[in-house]
Amino acid sequence: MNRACARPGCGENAAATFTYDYRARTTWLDRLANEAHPMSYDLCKVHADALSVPRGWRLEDRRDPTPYGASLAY
Amino acid sequence: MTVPERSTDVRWGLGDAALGWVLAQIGGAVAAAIVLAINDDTIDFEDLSLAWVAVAQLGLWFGMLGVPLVASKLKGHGPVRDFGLRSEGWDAPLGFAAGVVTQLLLIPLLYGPIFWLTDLDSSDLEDPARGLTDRATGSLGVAMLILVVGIGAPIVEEIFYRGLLQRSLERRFGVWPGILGSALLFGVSHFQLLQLPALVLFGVVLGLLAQRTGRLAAPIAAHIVFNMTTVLFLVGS
Repeated sequence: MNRACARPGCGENAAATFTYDYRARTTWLDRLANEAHPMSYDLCKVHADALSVPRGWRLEDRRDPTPYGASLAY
Repeated sequence: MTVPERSTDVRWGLGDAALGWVLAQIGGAVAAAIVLAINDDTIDFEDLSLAWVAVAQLGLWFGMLGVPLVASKLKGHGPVRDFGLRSEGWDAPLGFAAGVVTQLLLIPLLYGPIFWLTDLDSSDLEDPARGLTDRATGSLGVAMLILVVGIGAPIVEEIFYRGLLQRSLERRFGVWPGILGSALLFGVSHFQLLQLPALVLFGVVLGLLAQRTGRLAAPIAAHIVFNMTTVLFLVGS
């Protein structure tokens, strides 16, 4: 599932995927999708965290990490 | 809480722990290589299905479980007596509480300053866990996740780290070197740098449970609850 960030000049591994809807004026930022899609864009963590939307648009960050940072010991 | 007597007339020790750890690493690497070869050499291990992850995990468990069981049979009195592989009264509730408190309170307290001083956040900490739980698609995937991460790993790792390793270190160097040494190797063996402080801290909690009760039931319960808390949060979200 290793894909590169879509930002020009950034070669980091993608960590999130964003999609948007012009009519709803909404951008959704989700955890990295399992597969690439022509209507969605992958971003590395730095660029995903810095993602901003035009005035009048809404950004919904749906990556929702647990508030405490869940760990596994296996 | 009274500390039960330990078997001292056993011949297993640090050599067996070292053998178990090395065999586990070799077994894990060989199993992972076989699994990758069967699938497709170009695929990343992170992209394998949970069923294949479970198969690769069996290679790791071969040494981690096999050596303690064989050593305690051949050089001691078996895992029940030698490692305290049994349960009494409050072991399970005590372990349950310790697992939840460590996951939801102690680790966030430990990482608060780390997140504050760096540009890391909780999503970075949970990346490896999320990478695994994201592969649990469908009821079979979730069942596999629970079987491997929620049940199998806690039992196998506690028998090795708190059973064989910690008791070997305690016999040779004393109680605290035993607890800290096994916790350190437990953390390092997961090969995740950012998670290292959390895993060492959790290893100390598990070591204290094993040492104070003289049995493995409490640390096994704590380990199960610790992992299952994460599984429930991440699969649920």
